[in-house]
Amino acid sequence: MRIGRHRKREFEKVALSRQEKHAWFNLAICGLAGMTFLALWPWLGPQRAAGALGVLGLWALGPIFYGASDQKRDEEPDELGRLIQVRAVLAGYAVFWLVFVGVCVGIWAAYGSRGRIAVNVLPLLALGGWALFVVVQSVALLVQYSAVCRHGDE
Amino acid sequence: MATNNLTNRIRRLRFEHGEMTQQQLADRVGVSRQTIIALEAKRYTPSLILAMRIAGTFNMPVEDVFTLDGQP
Repeated sequence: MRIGRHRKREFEKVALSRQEKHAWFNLAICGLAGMTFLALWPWLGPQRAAGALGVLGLWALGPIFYGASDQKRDEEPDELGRLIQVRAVLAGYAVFWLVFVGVCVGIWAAYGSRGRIAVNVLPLLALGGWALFVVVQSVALLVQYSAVCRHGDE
Repeated sequence: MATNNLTNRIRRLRFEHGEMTQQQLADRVGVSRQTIIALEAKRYTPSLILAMRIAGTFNMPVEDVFTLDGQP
């Protein structure tokens, strides 16, 4: 009886950690950039519509909203949060390197050792790699939080 | 190599200590409620420091709160 009452009180949604909020923020910005890009494509074409990816610059606001500060020191991630963060960063790096190597080898295979590519490909590769890293890291973090601490008392 | 899983009695001990909530325990030992949830669900193995803090909260030795599966 008493346990039942206790369970009812605690069976509530667990509040998002600051890391999870930051991850959702990153994914929302990525989604916004993607939708803007797709919306502009029919009018501007793919090359000019790629300017919409500049929306990704809003990611720079993430550390301001969700980064460490003196006021938020009590919200620093605990040992589980740090472990999840490290794993998420590793996942981001792993996927980034796989794709980066794949793209480099793919370009080499497609154009040959004497082929030429536009210099514009380099910043696009850097931007794309950064975006991929942030997205994979954010997804990995959310998946881990979801898997490890889904519910309160059940 | 045999693998050992760390089990714990945190959930039961919370009830036995005045129906302490997960959040109250989390605040006492300085972690998030999510970490307590993960511990109770045996999805996370705590550091020795955290294990000792939790045991200290219940005024019990660590081995009475955490036990390895397959060990007496």
